[in-house]
Amino acid sequence: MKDPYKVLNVSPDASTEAIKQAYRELARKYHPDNYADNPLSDLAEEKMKEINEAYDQIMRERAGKSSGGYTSQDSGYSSYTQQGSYGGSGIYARIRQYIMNGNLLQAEQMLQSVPDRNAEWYFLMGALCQRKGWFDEALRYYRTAAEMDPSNMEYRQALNMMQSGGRVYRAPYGYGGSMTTSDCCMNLICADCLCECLGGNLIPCVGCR
Amino acid sequence: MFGYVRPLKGELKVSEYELFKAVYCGLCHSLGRRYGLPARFVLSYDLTFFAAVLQAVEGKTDICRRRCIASPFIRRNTACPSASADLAADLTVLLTYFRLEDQVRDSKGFARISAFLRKLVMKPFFKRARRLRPRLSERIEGSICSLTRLEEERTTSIDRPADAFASILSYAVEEAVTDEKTCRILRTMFYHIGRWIYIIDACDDYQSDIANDQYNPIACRYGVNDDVLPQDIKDEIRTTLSHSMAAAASAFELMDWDLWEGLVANIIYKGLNAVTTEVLSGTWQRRRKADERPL
Repeated sequence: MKDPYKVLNVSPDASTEAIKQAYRELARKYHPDNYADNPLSDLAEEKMKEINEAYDQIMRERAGKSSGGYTSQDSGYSSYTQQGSYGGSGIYARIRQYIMNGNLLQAEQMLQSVPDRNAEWYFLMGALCQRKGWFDEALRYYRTAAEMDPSNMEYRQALNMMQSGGRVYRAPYGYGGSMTTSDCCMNLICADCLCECLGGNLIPCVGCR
Repeated sequence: MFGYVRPLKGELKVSEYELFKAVYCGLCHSLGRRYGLPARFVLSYDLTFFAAVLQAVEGKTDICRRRCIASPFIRRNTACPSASADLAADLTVLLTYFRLEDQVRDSKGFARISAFLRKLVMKPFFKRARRLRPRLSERIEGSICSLTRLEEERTTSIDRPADAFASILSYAVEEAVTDEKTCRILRTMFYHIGRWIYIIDACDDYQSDIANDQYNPIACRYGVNDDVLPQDIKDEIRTTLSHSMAAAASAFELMDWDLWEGLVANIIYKGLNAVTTEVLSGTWQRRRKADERPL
């Protein structure tokens, strides 16, 4: 196993406060929000696990040295619960499943074979394009979906997400995106709704610990 | 190639700047060694970045001191020859040649003659690169073919031609990186950077393409032909580009960069962003020239 201090990028004689700080920053960086709809989300999850383990190990060691003992609190930031349990049936449900699992080729073939194209078809095309990194096409499909079915929150939120410049283009050294707090909250809520639609959950796992 | 992917120099640490310069010189020497003097003039920042990333993966940071025609008396710190620099050199030649071919096809008058002559000079180098990298050059040719086809169709999509272009960089990564996980990360990172390059280049060329009545992806996508891009379209492009930058950044974060972290982070987070702003606001051409000299 890797040196836990190296994983958190702190020196072994850093204060506990500093370690917590470093942990929080890293956990924010690899948080599921930042990797939702990202083909590399499994790698982010791996990284998150490594960070959590390193943090737990350090905390355990330090608690052992003083007194008491540290009991690892689970959950933390680590809830990557994206396994889809999307209710519903039919071809669209299966396509959703394929998109979520990253089987884009299959999803695209199935979408192309659907004869009548309703709002959901456009929404799923958008999701597929977003996953591929075709952000302009994704925007166009989401827009059509939201126009065809203006009452659907899921479509509208996906469109908002696409129009807002997406996830914060966050930089390591204080060179953040230009998001204001309200934008950030709004996006978070949007992201949560999206996740929930796809069977996951986001908000309950933010800001624990 | 195009020179859009570059660090924001003012924000680099001196050590990072030295590193970038060393990779730049290393790539230039590699071009000279493999292809000869004229090939050294097609050196670009984009492929310096590519070489730097591959060297980070290779874990090579050895520096030697070399003289060159640009600095015949004082030896400069240069990255020692490496497989990464060699691949970047081959890729430079291949991409330059294809770009010149594209220019010969698209432009008219003097620009066409100039492109034709440069293509003539590059031809033997291209042949050599193709011999050295048969698989890569074949795959690139395939991408260029679909790119040309899409452009001839006057596609209204910007993502399709951008995809054809971006896949080239992904192929180049596959050529060099053997570790599966690293390869996945870098392929994704370069795919998004490739998309960014294609779109930013289209924005940069917009005015001259419109003036010369040539194909421009942005003009076709939005169905406009005003002399200057309207602001709302610029905003939309900015948004779509920031999605690509964010996606490239999220891939970047998944790798362990060691000594190279600062340099690569500067390019991904600041360099791309600064160039985006400048191209969209029209101040890019001036800065590009100002930036070209000191390196």
